[in-house]
This record gives sequence, structure tokens and C-alpha cells, in this order.
Amino acid sequence: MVAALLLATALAASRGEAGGFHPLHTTMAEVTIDRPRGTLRIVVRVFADDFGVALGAMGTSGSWDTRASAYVRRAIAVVAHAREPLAMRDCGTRRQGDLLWLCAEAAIPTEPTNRLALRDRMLCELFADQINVVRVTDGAKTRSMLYTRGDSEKPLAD
Amino acid sequence: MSELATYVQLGFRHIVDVAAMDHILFLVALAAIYHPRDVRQALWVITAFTIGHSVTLGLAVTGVVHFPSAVIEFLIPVTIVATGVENLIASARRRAGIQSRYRPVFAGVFGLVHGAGFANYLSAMFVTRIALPLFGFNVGIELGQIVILGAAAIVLAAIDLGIDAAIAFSKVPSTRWPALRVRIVGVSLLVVAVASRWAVERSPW
Repeated sequence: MVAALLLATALAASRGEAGGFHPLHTTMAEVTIDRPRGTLRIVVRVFADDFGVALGAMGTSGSWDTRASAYVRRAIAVVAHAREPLAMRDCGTRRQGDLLWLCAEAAIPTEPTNRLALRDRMLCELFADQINVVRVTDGAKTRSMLYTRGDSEKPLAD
Repeated sequence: MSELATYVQLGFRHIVDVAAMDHILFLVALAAIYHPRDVRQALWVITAFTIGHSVTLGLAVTGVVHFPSAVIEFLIPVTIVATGVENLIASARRRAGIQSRYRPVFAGVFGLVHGAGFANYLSAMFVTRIALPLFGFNVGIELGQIVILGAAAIVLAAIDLGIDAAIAFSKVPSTRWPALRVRIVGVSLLVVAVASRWAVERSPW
């Protein structure tokens, strides 16, 4: 009797998403800070199918490019000196196999910018296990960061 | 955070996530046969599994091979079923006094299949730099597996205590059905039932 109950519970628990393949919900972003030019560029690699679902869930109209840019600007923000997010502009999209490369750029303040902070919520609204990896190159220095659902801005420099 | 630490964390979070039930169930199936004093043997088996999936990950990420996702998704639960069945056979062999020395080998072979499961994802993502992310990811997977193994050992020990109590209560001679054998048979049958269902659901044919 106990064995039958355990078996029934296990089979019930094996239904649904847990029974499906366990995908790796992650994006990779490369952030390059170019202080002489006063720019910050972000290139995000994201799986096209996941990104398509995210765009569909936005519920807005317009071309794919317009919606993609709007999504990236909403999900990723760069903040200087704990003030308003910097204005981001689209700098292109490329598709390679299942992967999309999304580029966004911002002008960074010319005064000392060691208080730049980044937020990366790409696809976090879709997947509870979403992990976004960010690699920052600031001159000769590099560092990496992880973002998960609920994370806020993290400083781009120590 | 250093880049290595980032990818260690990525691998760790991936394997301990509750959505990773297929990997967790496979580890439980591997662990189900061991007594707490056999921890070194269990660690060898888990390490063989890690080596196996590291090989396929490395081959896929470097572009040497590409694995058909539908077939791999089907084969992963098949490896879990096979491990559960092997538990039952090994348990019977152990009662006959025959030790199983091949377990790390098949854990390594099955690791090849599990590695192929996320190889396609990582080969798409790790396009600019490969060695460090791959190494960090695998270290994280190994650490996560040790954590899962520790949790499984605690749960299995609790099951053993429950079985011992039940045997004492029922007054059945414990030499006929010792707690370890009851646990191995019970856990393995559950694992086989769940993984068989997944195999049917994911069948590409």
C-alpha cells in the first residue's frame, strides 16, 4: 500500500516541466567600456527561441527590430552615479544559428565614472532559473558577474 | 568576481536547480546502492560521471561533434532506467558475495550521454572563449553533484532508519530482507518508474 502510494506520487511528480529536458537558461553579455571615446557597448548573446517568446510576451506592436530594441533597453540598464539609467541606443543585431547577438551602446559621463552600475534582467521574467553572465572589459581590467531573477544593479568597477 | 568563479557558479546552479530533475534522479540512482560507509566508492562513481560528461562537453564546444538533441533527450532517461535496473542486479550479486567493480565505468559512459544533453547549449554560448568557461562550468557541476550526493546520503540514511523500524515492528527476520536491500529495491523501482515515463514522453519515434 505504502509502495503503491510512493509510486503514484513519484509518477505524478514526474509530469509536466520536470519531465521535460532541462535546458540551460542563460545569456552571455560582453560589456566594453571605452573611456577615451566615452562609450559603453553591450553585446548580448541569447537563444533566438527564448528571445522570441520574450518578445511575444511583451504584447507591443511594431517591427521585430523595434520590439527587440525596446526589450533590451527595458531589461538592461546602465546607471551612472546612482542616478537615472543612461540612454541606450541600438547598435545592431546578428543571428548565428540558434543564437542572436544583440548590441546596445550608451555614452558614459566624461567625469570619473567609477560608479557605473549595470542591471541585466534578460529573460528573467520568463524563467525562474535564468542566469545572465556578464563579462566587463574596462581598459586592461576584466571582471565577470552573474545576474539572476530579482537582482538589481551591480557596480561595473570595484 | 573572477571569470572562473562565475562559470563555477553557473555550473553549480545548473545542476542543483530543481528543474534539473533528470540529473538529480540519475545521481540518486547511482547513490541508492551505497551504504554511508561506502562514500569513497560513491565519490569515484560521481567523478567518473563528471569525466564522462566533460569529454562530450569538450568535444561539442570545440565543434568536433554535434549531438542530435532529440535522441540525447531520449537517451538520458534511458540511462537512469539502466542504472536503476543495474542497482537491482548489483544488489543481488552483492548478496551472493560478488563485488561490482565496473560501476565507475558505466557511470562514465552514461556521463557521456548526460554531457551531450547540455553540450549543444554550451557550444552555442561559449563561442569566443572556450577553455576557462568550460573548465569552470565542469568544476561547478562536480561541486553541485557532491552537494546532491550529500543530500541523497542523508535522505537514504533516514529511509534506512524507517525501514529498520518497520522491520522491527513487523518482526520479519532482518536477515531475509535487510534494510539496505529493501532501500535499494524500493528506491531503484521508483527511479525506474519515473525515468521510464520520461523516456516514453521524450521518445523521438
